[in-house]
Amino acid sequence: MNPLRLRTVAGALAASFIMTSSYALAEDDISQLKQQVDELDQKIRVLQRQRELEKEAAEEKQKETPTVSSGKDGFWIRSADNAYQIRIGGIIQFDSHWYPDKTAPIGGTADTLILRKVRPVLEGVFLQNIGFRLMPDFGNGTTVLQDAYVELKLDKAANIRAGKFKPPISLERLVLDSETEFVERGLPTNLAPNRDIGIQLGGSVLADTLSYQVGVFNGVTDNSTADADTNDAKDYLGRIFAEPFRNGSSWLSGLGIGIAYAYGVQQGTVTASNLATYKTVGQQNFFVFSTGAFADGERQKIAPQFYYYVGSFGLLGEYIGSRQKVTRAVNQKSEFDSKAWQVNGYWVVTGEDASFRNPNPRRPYAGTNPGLGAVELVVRYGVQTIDDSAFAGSATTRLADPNASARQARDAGIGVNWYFNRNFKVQLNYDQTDFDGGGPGGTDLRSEKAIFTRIQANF
Amino acid sequence: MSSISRTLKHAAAVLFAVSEWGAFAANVELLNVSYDPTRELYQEFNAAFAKQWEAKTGDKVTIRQSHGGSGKQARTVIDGLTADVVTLALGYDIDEISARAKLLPAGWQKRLPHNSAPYTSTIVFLVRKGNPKHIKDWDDVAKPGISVITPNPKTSGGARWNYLAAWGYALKNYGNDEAKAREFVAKIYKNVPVLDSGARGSTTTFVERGIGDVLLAWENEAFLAVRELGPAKVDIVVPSISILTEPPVTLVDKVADKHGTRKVALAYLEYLYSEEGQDIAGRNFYRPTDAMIAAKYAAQFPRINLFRIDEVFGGWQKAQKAHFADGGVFDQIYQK
Repeated sequence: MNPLRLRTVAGALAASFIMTSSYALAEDDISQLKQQVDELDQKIRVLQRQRELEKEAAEEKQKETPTVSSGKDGFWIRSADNAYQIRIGGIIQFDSHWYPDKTAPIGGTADTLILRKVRPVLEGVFLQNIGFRLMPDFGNGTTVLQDAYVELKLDKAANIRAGKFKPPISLERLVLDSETEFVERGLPTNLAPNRDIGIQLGGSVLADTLSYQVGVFNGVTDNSTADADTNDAKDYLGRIFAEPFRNGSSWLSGLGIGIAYAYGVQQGTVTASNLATYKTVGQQNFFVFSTGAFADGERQKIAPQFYYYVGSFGLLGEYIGSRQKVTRAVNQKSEFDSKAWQVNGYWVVTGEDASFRNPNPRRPYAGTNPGLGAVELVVRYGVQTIDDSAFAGSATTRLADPNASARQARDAGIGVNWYFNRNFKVQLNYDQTDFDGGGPGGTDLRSEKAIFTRIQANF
Repeated sequence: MSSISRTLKHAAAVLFAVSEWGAFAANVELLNVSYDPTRELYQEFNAAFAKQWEAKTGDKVTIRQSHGGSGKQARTVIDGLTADVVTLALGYDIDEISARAKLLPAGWQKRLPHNSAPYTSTIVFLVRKGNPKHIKDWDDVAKPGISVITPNPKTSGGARWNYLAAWGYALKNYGNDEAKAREFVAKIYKNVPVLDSGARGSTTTFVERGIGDVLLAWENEAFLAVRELGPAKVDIVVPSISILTEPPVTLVDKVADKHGTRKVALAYLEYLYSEEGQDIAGRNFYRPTDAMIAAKYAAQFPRINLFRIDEVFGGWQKAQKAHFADGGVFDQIYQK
């Protein structure tokens, strides 16, 4: 073989061997690399998954961490599962009372600035169904325990409340004190208790279209609050309130109608009468029992009531009839009847929905977003009538002096409310009350004219 | 007061009118707190029961579902989640609800047939398509280099069944030698790169995140994965021995009584034993306890040599205390 050809063949063989070896080596490397890539890929996937799980665990843990929050409803401390909750809130009402007509006796009170309500509120829930509320009041220069009760929330249909709170008689009384549309409530509340101590079963049924309360209370003097009973007998109260269309979207969905009834025995003495003095909405007395008269037996009340809200408009009305056995002179026991009714109308001019609660401004005033809030116009008319028999008899036997106490008071009021936001509002009311009787020589008392203002903060 | 008397009469008329509303059909709501992989089963079952209940009583029933690791779910009920019924992965978790929260009597498991387990299942392996790591039995799962996906037995009922299935296999394979069984199970958990809190989480890890060579899975969960992914993605491998899992159901008496749902809740659980309930279980790859329905689905399920927890571990209380309690065997062998 030609040496040149031999070298050529040998060279070709060597090149071929080298190339084959290199290819085999590359395949091993690739396989090894692929394995390493797979392992790295798995490690990366595991790390990513572990991060996911850690994130999930952190989110779960977050759910178990108690929270402290503050907002329009006050300051809250809540356990992670909401089983334990405490709220700290409060109401401050700075009012002014102006009486343009100073003619005595009605209107003779001095114009004044007052702190009407100064109420810190502490309330909470334990174990999801045990609630409590504590609310003293330092307004009007006095200290009164307004609300102090515990509540066992067995079910939406059955809550037991025990302590001091509003007995369920007057519908306007049941409006939250921070959410009254008028600076002072109307005449019917003269015939209903303010706060009383008792125990009450209440709840709502039929998809919340029917609510009820039944309870036993000490039985306080009308329009007042007390911390103990003065006799052994108790007052028995019941109320039902129906909103049959509330779950629909018809124009009747804001209609509520109900009735309350109370029966009890009130027992006073010559020196502690347990009888109420009736006030105008201007907070001045227009009916006072004669000295020596006192509650002496059964007392009954009946109170049909309703409200109706549609769009920006609302109406609230109620009637309270009251009968109380009263004694003045020895063996002169008689039945004292009084009745009162009123209708309130509301119009939220800025278009928010009217409801049993204050309107929620669409454009609230806030530090960063100074909206105008909501404006509401309100109007009311109410009448309280005392039965003529209260004025019958001699000066020593009659229950009231017709020359000092009126037989009827008729209140007409208008007002404007400016809700800056859910926590701050300003109110202006004008009320005029006309009277039958009560003046000297059988004349009528001079009409009361009252301008009331309120600046309120609540949280 | 004649005016008051008149008003009372009017009030009575209003009350009478109001009482007419009582004729409305009731809307009832139940909460079923269940374990991880039962979502699909109860979605179908709830719809069937609601339809049947409305036809029978006229009442509408809405059943809300809550799912998670069985142990974790039991703790949420103990902590106050108001379940009308619980349908958990294992009896021990319901025993805990009974013992700690006193929401149901201790003898709850005797109230319904088959120890309150309307369906059963077992533990199988889910592997990548073609079984590239040649995993055929528990021994393969314990080999070095095999990546095993199983949830955390501290929070997941399914994970406890997985663990006990492996332990039971080892005991049978090594002549009831507890030390060797412990060593065997330790090897498996050495191969576990990540512990999810529930079975559904582990399925996500294996199927969606692509992690691991084998998923220790409920049989129903494995079938579901194959159905969802298609047979081109994963294979089911049936081990030579596994454990018979009996997920129990029960009424949470105090909650149901408080909600006024005892009657409908009991009917709900009893309907699981009905022909339709059993059929739905079979369709969702649970093994029906009713012989007739079980026969219908017999071809669907592979034949496996199954052992019961009572036979090997003396029941859930003993197994829990020895293996899964704090400081138990699992804590000792799984140290990451």
